[in-house]
Amino acid sequence: MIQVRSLVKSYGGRRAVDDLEFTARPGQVTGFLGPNGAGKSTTMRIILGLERADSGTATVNGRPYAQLDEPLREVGALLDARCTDLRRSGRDHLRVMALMGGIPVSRADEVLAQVGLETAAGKRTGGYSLGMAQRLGIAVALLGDPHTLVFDEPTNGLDVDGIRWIRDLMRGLAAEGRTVLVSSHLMSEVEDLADEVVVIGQGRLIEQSGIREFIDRASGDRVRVECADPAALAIALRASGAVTEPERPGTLLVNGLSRRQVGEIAVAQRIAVYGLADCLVSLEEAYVRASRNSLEFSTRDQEVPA
Amino acid sequence: MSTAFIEIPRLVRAEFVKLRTVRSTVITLIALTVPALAAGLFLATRLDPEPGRPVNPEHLALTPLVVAVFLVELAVIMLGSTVLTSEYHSGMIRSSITAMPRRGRLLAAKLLAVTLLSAGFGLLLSLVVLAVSVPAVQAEGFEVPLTGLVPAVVLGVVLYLPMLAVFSAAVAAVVRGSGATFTIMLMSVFVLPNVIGFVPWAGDWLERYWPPAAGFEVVLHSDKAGVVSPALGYAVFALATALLVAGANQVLQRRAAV
Repeated sequence: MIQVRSLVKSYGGRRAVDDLEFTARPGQVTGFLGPNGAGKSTTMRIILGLERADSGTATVNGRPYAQLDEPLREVGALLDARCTDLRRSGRDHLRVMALMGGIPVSRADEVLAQVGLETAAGKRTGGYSLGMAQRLGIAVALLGDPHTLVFDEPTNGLDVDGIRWIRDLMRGLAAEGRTVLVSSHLMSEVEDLADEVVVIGQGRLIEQSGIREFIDRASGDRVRVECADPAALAIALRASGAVTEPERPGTLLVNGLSRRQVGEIAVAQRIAVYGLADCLVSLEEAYVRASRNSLEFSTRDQEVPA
Repeated sequence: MSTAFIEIPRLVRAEFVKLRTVRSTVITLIALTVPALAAGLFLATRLDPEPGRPVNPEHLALTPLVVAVFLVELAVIMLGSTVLTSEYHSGMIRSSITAMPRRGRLLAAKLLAVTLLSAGFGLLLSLVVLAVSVPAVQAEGFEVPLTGLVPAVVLGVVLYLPMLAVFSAAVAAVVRGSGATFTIMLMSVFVLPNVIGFVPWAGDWLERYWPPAAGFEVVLHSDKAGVVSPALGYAVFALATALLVAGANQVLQRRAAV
């Protein structure tokens, strides 16, 4: 479990992380979302003890990272892939990490196989493609078989197969009961992966919730209905307070009424319905709406005269 | 803090593996070492006492070693600084700190690793050069006592080189860049000792106590007026190094691992 409480970090007067608060729980993939520069990487670096917070705490299983007895056995981390000496081979890098972390050196070859890097293990990491470097970083994260994993933009530089592989890996890790925190600025990447989302903007928490709730809430009551007489149905729906717009011929988009209400109105009007479904926005659209709302709040706050 | 006794030895081993597994480091160290050794051995085979002056057989046998040590200082500076500069340069420092977030232990292990390596190397260099020079002096018909100055200088080499390595590592921990570190070290060890005496007012004092030069007295045993004794010189060097290490530790603790 990762707990971030009242975390603040400034650089030269600019708040990169601003009173941030969230929890990543075991057994779930927690997506850590926000645009570039929102403070995701800074937060992760603080979680991993690479940087000091100005105030607030970030703990793993109740303790700050720097106080963990065997950090590599408790937390596996993938930060930016380039934190290896490019002149050293992938296998040697893993051996060095294992030695420093008090992990049997034999684990190096096990994780190399797990990430599919056996054939490149003897090559200098400077010759690795971005995808290979990313796999090596994941191998390091898995070295200590940790219960908590922190991945910063893990799909960077990976091809389609690589992205699929890493999603399956993360889902598998969470299914084993581990805590998985994964950051991304690409919402579509996280949409089918995360169970929970932590959305931040300008260093502040915008929302933490289950991904389904998050999308449902952003979607509001928006229903797509396909029927025999859209024009007539539209009139009836508007009479009930809905806003409608035609989509394709024979299809209406209805805002402001639930699926159930639309169905009942159609029956009352004796209009045949061929299709009726909630119209959910994408995670990306949900994110845009949530961040727009939070931005409006913050500007409105500032406009209130003192 | 009993875990330190478990963690530091494995961190030291990791430092050895880090050094060994980067081929360019190994090649550079060898390239800087071989000429020093070659020069020592070459001089050891061509001892020519100045004619007409009283011969000091101990000095005759030790001169090749002192020259070799002087030349091998470059390799030791390189060894000491590379354990930190290479990590900052590559970003490996982030990996190291996630593996060992108790940064003081990481630094201690690095210093211990370069200490052990340069002490072992200093001993080896001394024995190899003396194994050639002492018999050569004896072959000229002189007696070389192996109880006085000779073991004192060997001990001096084994004390001086590790301290130089630690000094370099501490500078590197603060400065981070290899170019800047190397420049500072070359200035401190090779350039400043020759010019610092020209500083007005304090020149004599600075020349006497400039730490790397004072420390080298433990190898040189000059025994001249105006020069510190080996013990005092080494103590000055050790004190300066200790202060630098304390500073390096502070910086490492506070700085973000970028």
